[in-house]
Amino acid sequence: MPRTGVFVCWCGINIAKTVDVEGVAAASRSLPGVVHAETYKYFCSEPGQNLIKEAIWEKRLDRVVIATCSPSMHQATFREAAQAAGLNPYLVQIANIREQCSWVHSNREEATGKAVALVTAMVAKVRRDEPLQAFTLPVNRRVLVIGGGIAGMQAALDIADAGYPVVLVEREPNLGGRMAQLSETFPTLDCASCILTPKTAEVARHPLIELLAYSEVREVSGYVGAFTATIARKPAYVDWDKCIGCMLCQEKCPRKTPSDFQRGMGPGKAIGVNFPQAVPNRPVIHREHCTYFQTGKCQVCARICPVDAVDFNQAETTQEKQVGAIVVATGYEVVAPDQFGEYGYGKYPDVIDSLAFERLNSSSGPTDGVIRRPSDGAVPKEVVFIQCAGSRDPDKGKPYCSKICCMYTAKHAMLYRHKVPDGQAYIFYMDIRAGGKRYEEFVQRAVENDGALYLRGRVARVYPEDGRLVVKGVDTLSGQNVEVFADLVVLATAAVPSGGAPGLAQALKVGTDEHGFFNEAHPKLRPVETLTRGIFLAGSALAPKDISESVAQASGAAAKVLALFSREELLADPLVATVNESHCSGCFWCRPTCPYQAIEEKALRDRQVATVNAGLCQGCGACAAACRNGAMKLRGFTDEQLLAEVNALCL
Amino acid sequence: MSERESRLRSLAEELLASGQVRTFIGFGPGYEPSRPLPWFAQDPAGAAQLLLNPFCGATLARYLLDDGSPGPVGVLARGCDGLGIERLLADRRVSRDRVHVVGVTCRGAVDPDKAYREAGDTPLSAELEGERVLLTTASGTREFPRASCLYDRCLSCADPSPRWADDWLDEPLPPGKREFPDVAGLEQQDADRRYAFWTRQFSRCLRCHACRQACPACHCVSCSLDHPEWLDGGISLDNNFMYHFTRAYHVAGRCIACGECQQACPAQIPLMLLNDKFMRDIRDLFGVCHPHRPQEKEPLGQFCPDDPEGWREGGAQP
Repeated sequence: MPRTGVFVCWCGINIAKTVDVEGVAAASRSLPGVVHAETYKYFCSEPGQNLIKEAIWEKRLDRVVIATCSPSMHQATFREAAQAAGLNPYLVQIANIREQCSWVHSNREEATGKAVALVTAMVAKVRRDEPLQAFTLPVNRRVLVIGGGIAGMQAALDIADAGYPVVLVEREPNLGGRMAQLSETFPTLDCASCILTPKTAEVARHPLIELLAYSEVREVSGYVGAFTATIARKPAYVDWDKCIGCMLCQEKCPRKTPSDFQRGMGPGKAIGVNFPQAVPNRPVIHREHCTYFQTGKCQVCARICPVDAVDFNQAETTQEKQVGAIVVATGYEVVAPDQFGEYGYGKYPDVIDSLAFERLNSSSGPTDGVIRRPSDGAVPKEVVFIQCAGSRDPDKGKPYCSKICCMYTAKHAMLYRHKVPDGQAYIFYMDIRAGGKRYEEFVQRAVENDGALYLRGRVARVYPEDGRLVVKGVDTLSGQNVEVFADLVVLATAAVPSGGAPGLAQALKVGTDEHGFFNEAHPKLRPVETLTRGIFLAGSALAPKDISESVAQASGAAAKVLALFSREELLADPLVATVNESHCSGCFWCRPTCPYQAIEEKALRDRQVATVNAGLCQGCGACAAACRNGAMKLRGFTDEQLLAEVNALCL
Repeated sequence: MSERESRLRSLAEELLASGQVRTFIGFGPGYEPSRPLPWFAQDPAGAAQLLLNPFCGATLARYLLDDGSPGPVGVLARGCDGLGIERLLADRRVSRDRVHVVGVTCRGAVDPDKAYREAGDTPLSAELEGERVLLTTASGTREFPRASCLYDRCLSCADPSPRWADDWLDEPLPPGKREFPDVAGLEQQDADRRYAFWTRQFSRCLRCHACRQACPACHCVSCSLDHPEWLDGGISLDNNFMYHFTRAYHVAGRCIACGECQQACPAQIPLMLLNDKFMRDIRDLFGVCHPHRPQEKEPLGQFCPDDPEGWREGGAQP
């Protein structure tokens, strides 16, 4: 007969106010197998835990039920206390009488009755609990960082500096991500390149960072400590090992092409790098734009190349990398602006998005940093900035705030005024969100020193008139309709997850929110972890973030990886599925239900049966529900244990 | 002897004689002509006794599990047998290289009990002709409507032919569409009346487990309904409800609509009504066609990263 102890927590007045805790303890004493019951104000406190330990010793308890807050709160605390007293930690059960009882009820009598019922159920379950042992997993102390923007680079550098090897995968031909497109950065106005390029160079020369540029992660299998990533290297049609980075090819390439990097503000070439400081400084041929690939003639680049590096026959190659942890830093894109018919994007060349404006401002950009409007190259004398183009707009499917636009729009207004002193910037906004160190002051500077005119309200329409654009909107502060004649209109378009994120999320089996941003394990307390152990998040993959936040979060993710790598072995939760082989028919219908591919085959003499890879299993229990034979059991949640709970409540 | 029957016999003889199969499962003589029994032919002499006539009723797929012979097994397959074989293949209880399927198109089997009631005497032979059935008894041959002579399950059958076979005895017919008229009738009643209805049905259950044993989808090595934590052996209304709900849930999305469970039930519990309700709901909620084609996605057992939260009518993706 088990010797069960019941500990009923007051949680100050959180529980005791609504539940008669002494009554619950008294009722518990008459439950089968219960040899001890007591109450205390805070069992989670040091003296409270000591009371549990003493009772385990003195009453020789072999099962413990603690009626207290949610197990997600303090189950680990109480398990550790029980373990310190010599009890297997999995023989401790929590009856949640706070979140599921006292907090949601007001009638003391009924709440007390419910608390007794919850304790009764857990006493019945704990009697059937079995001692379980955590098992160990070896750790491969190498990390995969996906994304070579500022967040990915920071995480890679932090981990590599601590002495662990890093595989850094970047989809584009060069490092830098979105930040490489920016001109200056708020709130300091230092140039993006000036702070970015030292980082890209540091990454490139770091002996522990293996940079796989122009590559994509296709598949990921395995589990914490032992992931295998399949990484595809897209064909650059240039042998980067031979290439010396002279860029004669780019110079001589006769084909001017539209350039994603320049956001349409200037042409690119069919072969070349995105910008002169690109790391690695190696060109790629954009097959869709290359004359040779289109018509079979040209090959100017191949002829001009002094080292014969151009290779039109290059094909995609894949390789596998074994790593112990993964940092996802896939960043953001801006929403396709073709959704904004009312602003005339795509129809009028002088309506551009904010990334395009960054390129116009950039001293290494297509206009060498002179602000010229696309239609006729004239310097615009009046510029209208429209904030929240897509953001905070449930109709366009983006109800969230893109967070960075208020600040960069203020920056744009400032930079514009610095370059065009007689110019006027108008900013249509909904609210100014300038939370952050020196952010509000920055916006005030834009208004006070640089004459930015903020108009609170939305723009209804943009249309051309006499070579200029008429911006019609409403100033909701004065209640008047406003019409501004502008030479250039800049849309602060919503930030969205980068295009590859959904596929990657599937490969990683990590959840995303309804917009495609990766889900963190806990929005406040575990912001860089995912629900899959060993996979961490950094930067705008999680939600729109500015540079300083991305860097801070990247270092946070790096710290988590380093904590993981600080041990040779990991302790894994034993609450995983197991197979009773004598019951298993080998139908394997458990397999399609498993989100983690944890179910494998094992040969018995007469048939194949299922077996669970405990490293992969996350203990979700889907297989146990799918198993008609009742052969699949989730440890700690077996049919017997759960039925005991249900029977105690219902019979 | 019909032409199909003689082709069956010669084909089975050939398969057995050449060693292509070690056993051939079909129908053979029963204790009266209207009740042929499953027949395990193991040599050409056994094959010569195979029968193929409108009284051949039982679905044969499940007998593949009872066959102990080490070599490949030949089996006669109508539409229901074919789906049953596919079910067993999908559940990995039978391997494809161990089955040799001889396909035949079925227009429905004559229920000997119904035939006896209609004809008023033991039927000796039957012939299907369109919407009519010609029954021959000692007193001669008479004509009856199809609906009054065929098994209930055959009347709603949508699969006259198996969808594939290694050999064919005749031309296969494409599958039709299964409708669920009885389900709608039951759903129109209020909850109390439905409860009363099922109470009446399940209170008759003897818990003989014949429905489970007959079912081509219900063949676990160790049935969870034999595990004492789920169900003790006692016959009570509670236990009977538990048994039947569990059974129905375990074949939900997997039922091939062969009707063997209902046919096997000595208490005449309308189990297909329950199965039909599940089939209809799964079709309407998840857009999965029915009876379930075993190699398609399991409607109720597939982790899908883009699964919509909740469900939508018609199974549409968001």
